[in-house]
Order: sequence, then C-alpha cells, then structure tokens
Amino acid sequence: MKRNRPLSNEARTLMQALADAPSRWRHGYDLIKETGLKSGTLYPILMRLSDRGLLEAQWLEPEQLGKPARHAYRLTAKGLEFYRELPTLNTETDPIPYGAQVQA
Amino acid sequence: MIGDMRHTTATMLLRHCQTLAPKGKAQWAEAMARERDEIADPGEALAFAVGCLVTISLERARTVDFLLGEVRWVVSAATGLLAMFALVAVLRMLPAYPQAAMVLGTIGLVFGWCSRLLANSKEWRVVTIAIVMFALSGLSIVAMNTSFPEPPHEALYRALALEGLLLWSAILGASLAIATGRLYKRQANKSLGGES
Repeated sequence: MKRNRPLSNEARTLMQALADAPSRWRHGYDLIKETGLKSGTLYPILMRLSDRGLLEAQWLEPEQLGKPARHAYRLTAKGLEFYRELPTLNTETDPIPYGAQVQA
Repeated sequence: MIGDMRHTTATMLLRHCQTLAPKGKAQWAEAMARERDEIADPGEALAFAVGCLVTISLERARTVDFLLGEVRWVVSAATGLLAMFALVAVLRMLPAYPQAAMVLGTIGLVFGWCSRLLANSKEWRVVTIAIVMFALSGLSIVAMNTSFPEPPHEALYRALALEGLLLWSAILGASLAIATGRLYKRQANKSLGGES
C-alpha cells in the first residue's frame, strides 16, 4: 500500500536546491554540501522522488579523464510543477530546513 | 594513518552497500560508491558511508518478504500457546496475587493478539511484532520485580517470569534468523536467475 505523506522540510530543501537551476544536473555530494543534508537523509529522498517520477537520474561522464561516471539528478517537468505548487514555507513559524541560512 | 583507516572503512562500507542493495536499488548503491571518491576529508567520507549504509539497509529491509508461511505459523502457534499458559496462570494466581495476575493477564492478551495477527494478517509487519515483544519484555521485568508476600512464591514467580522472557525471546530470535536467512537465500537465487 502506497502512502502519500506530506513533504518533509528536508525534501522541500532538496527540491528547492534542485529547482533553483532546474536544467542543471547535480551530483549527490554537491547536493549534500549545498543543502547540509546528511547522506542518510538525502539518498532516501532522492529515491522516493525518483520512484514518484519527480526526479530523473543519469550517469554523467566527468570532464576529467580517468574518473568514473557519476550519478546526476535533476527534477523532471512533473517534479518542477509539483515543487511550484507546494505551499510556500513560512520561515517564522516552520522549522528551518537543514543547512539553510537565515537571512537577517 | 587514522585518516587512511577512515577512508578504508568508508570504502568497505560502501562496497557492502553494493552487496546489500536490493535489485531495484543497485544503481543507487553504485552511485553512492562513486560519490565517495569525490570526498577528500576522511571523517566526512566515513559519515557519508554510514548514512549510505543505513539507507541501503532500510531499502533492503523494505524489500524482504517476511511472509514466509511456515515461520509465520510457528510463531503464531507459539505465541498462542504462551497466551494460553499466561491465562491459565492468571486463573491460578488471581485469588492470592491479583496484581501479578493482572500483569500476566496483560501479557497473555498481547500474546493472543500477536498470535491472531500473525495467523490472519496478510501484511505481517515484523517490526510491529518485534516492538510488541520488546514491550512485553518490560512487562516481564515488572513481573520479576513485583514483590510477593511469601518468599518461596516470590522466587518461583521470578523464575517463571525469567523463563517466559527467555523462552519467547528465543522463539522470536530463531524465527527472525530463519526468516532472514531463508529469504536472503531465496532472493540471492532470484538475482542469479535460479528458482526461488
């Protein structure tokens, strides 16, 4: 039985990072550095988004020769639409997402 | 030296992730292993690997089918028997030790509920059962710590509570070991194209 749970703050943070540059392919470690999420949080979210067709993944050959291909991710059109339809996060009342910087 | 060890451990854990990953998530485990090459800091690499291992272990746990018929029936029958023993004990203890009888009665009811759940439910959630069993161990400890007015009976009931605790811990442990062992074997066979 599939459950439709509300999106967590962590998932929202990740989607926000991906939606900021929707056409750019992003690597797992880069997303960790950018969002402040731990690998144990990031990868399950990536997997769920991918399972729901909101994220696409592909192996990208690195620019540097001799290095192996890396998995890269970006939101699908459906994912981008889903993200844009999310209610906006209220930073005053909602918990601050992991690694997010609060602007003074 | 320590840095090298952490890098080596991270690599080892990520290799284990690749072995552990269920078929549908194999490329994710591969992706994690490749990302590790990009992490220069040993501590960060190790933390990354631990997070990945947790993720893949949970994915593996989600794909394991704990509905192996024979294990389910054995545990169901065993918990049913324990429920019956507990209820018989309640009847015998009730006049003299109502408090202890209530504790045992609760244990009996939860065992009965477990037994019914295991026998009927198509979606047997082993974690739920494990939690119930764990909660019951708390009850047994309560029973062990209950003070009985007559010293000879106190020793007897403590021994019985301990025996019960050990008995169903063994049943649960053995069942889980059988279930996971058999299922891993079955899944490995499937992955290799053999018969399940």
